[in-house]
Amino acid sequence: MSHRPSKTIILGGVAALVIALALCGVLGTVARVVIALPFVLVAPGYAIVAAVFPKRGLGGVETLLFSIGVSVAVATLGGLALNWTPWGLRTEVWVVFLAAVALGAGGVAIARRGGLSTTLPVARLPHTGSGPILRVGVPLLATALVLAVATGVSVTGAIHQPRKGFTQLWILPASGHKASAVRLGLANRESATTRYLLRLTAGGHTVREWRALNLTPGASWQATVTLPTSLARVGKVEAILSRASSPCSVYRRVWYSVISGN
Amino acid sequence: MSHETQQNSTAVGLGWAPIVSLVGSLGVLLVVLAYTGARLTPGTWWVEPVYWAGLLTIFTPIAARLISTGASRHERIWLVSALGMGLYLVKVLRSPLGFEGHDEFLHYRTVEDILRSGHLFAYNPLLPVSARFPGAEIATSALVRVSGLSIFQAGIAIEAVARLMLVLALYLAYERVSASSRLAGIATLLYMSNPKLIFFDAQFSYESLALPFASLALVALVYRARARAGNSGRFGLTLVALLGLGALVITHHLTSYAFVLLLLLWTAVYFALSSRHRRVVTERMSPAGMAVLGLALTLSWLVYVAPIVIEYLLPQLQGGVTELIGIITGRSTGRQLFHDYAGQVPPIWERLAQIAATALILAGLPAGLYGVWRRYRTNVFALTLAGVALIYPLSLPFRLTQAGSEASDRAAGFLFIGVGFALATFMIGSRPFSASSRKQIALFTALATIVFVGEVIVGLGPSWARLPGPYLVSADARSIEPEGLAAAAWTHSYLGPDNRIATDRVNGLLQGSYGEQYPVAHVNVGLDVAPVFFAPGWGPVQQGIIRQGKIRFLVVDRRLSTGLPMEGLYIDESEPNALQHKTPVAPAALTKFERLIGVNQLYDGGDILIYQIGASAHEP
Repeated sequence: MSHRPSKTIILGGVAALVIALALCGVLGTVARVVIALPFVLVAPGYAIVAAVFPKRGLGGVETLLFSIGVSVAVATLGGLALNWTPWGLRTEVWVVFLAAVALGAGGVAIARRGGLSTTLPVARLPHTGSGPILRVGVPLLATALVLAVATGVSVTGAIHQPRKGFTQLWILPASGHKASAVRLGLANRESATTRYLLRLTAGGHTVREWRALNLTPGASWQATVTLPTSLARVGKVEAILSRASSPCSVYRRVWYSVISGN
Repeated sequence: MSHETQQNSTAVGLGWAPIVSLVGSLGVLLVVLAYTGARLTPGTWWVEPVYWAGLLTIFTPIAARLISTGASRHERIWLVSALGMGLYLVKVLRSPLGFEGHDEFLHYRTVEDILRSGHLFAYNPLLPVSARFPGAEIATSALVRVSGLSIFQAGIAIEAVARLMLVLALYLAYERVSASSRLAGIATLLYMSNPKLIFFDAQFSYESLALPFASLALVALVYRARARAGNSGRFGLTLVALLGLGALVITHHLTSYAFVLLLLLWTAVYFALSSRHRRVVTERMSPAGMAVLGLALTLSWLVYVAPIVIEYLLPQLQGGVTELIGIITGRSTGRQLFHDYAGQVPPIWERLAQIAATALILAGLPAGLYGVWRRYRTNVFALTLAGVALIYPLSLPFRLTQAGSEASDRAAGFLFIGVGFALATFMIGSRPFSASSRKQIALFTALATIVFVGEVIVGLGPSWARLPGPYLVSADARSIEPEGLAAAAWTHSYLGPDNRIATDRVNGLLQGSYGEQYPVAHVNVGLDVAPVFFAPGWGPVQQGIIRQGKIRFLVVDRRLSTGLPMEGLYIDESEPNALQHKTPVAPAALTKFERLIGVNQLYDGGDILIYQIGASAHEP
């Protein structure tokens, strides 16, 4: 098992950096993920393994397994403990907790190994025989490439899977309005731009009409309509949606019973 | 403490692992091509053959190399890891955009509640018991908080790590017990043939992380049992075992109970063996202390935090046992084998593969168990694994029952820990085989592949469940569609969270998770809401359900009337004709709400409508 200098110092430095950057919200999305994954899933366990096992006490595979296993276990049990604190399971609390575990255990590891010159055990890749680049590097690179292609194909296929398009229409009472009012909403989830005709009635009387609501795929429309006082006490307010391609055919229909003063 | 054992002193390095991994990745690509074909051109003839070609390309070359004698320890570790992760990708790349598995939505809700409140144990109406075992959700929420990933992305990462933990832990445990990296590789390979590995134990759920925690504790205990007294690594191993055990107890009920039973069995074997072979027993300490601690922790958690487990598990266990007794006594006919709930029958080759897989395991087990007894008579944990393998045949009759078939399949995730070891011992131990003849390696590779294929079919179910494709009624992953997702997003945005609603099985998952609503059902308030949706009319029964359930909204999916439920249920197991529907829901039953007085049709999404309703709603 080989030793490399200052692994714990690097570990501590990274942890401190993560705390600072996370608390400041400075990290960009990708950088944050790249740092956070080992911070949560590897660092605490790795530090604990270093602290509690003797030098050269574990093989490389055991170190890897215990590092990730203990990290996840610490997060799980730590979350249970944090639940009973006033701060709960918030971002800052997690960052401080996990960093404290990693730094604390790292400190113990340094102390047990008698100074800064001692290091954590590091897993080393086994001797791969002749031509490591050809025998190992090229196939691994090719494997990564193939898996990347597979992921891309999978995602693309899922996105472009033929799905039945649909339109959403809804009606709700408008809160905060003294007079009777309703909120109308429309969303186009079809595969093409659609022209809609929308009619709002109350007690059978037309309150308002929209004859040319053009919505592109993914677009939505909303409106709040105050009912005329004469119709405000009428029971049923109804919105009927048709498509311009079939104006006489009811495509969507919603209604709401309005109580005067609500 | 030794850290490297080599099967063959002349075999070093990674050997063929990089090339075999590349081949495996091509297998993943083939599976993805099959998925894409199923999505874009459903029903095309080449999809199924390409799917199976992909799975075999992932599994068979790795199996051949692991069964061969030429691979080094490092190569074997690499290969089992590659297989484990390759099979995990088979699940992930089936649904790369979001969760689609039934149980994934249940646990999504718990993560959401933790993120929303910053605390644990909020009531989860989708699966109340899961909120009492929040281990997986705690770890996921930690990753969400620190990384900014979505719940889906963090869940995928957590389960990927869990998969790696499981594979490495089992390999190392097998290796330490047998002192053979070859046997360890084969045993791990065979473990990964269990029917639950590809999907059920890969989905975002509590059992998927609990098994790795159990394996982590197990390998630490196996190592500790063989460490010399005074070895300073013992403290570290004890700590790892404690952390694994503690995390397991708060993560999943059944896995923690099974693990404690395993520790108790191990302890019993230790003391039985020690009393007879005091000086030659391979282990220097028993897991008795850990078994007692595990028992205390699981019971404490059960009594003080999660007593709800009893009412959750007991009916399931009772149902299977009762039905099996009924079959034996002739009072019940049991489940119709090889038929799904919609009455579809798999092709003849799939049925034969399932039978062959089970037959091969049952045929190999006696020889394997005999081999374990011959080679490892004083090896306590080896005998314990043999004891676990012995339970496997006892679990099979439950596959004949409706209530117990799922439990029997799930038990395989635990029992294959012993089955894999016993069968691997058989493979290593047969004298002609260990002469490394190419013919015999090919033969055993073929047999292992048959077991893998048969068990995958058992675990994944019919092809409509294995592959993506167009919408199917009440078909879990095949029913997750933009309409349902959009309706759930709408209720969350416009109605706010925590409204009591009544809806069907799939929309209940979506509304309860993404919508953060409270789908009233038998699992939470003990109410059967099926009459609301199944009856053609509206009367006192329906009004009573609305009143009793305090239901404010109905989410009605008219597609339910277009076919039989593929999973056997439209709503839940309390509905009439559950798992035995012969006719779809009548269309009139789903359109009756339009004519009711006192009902508002707030949302019309075409197939999905949302009604605001009160107990006073009535027919005109």
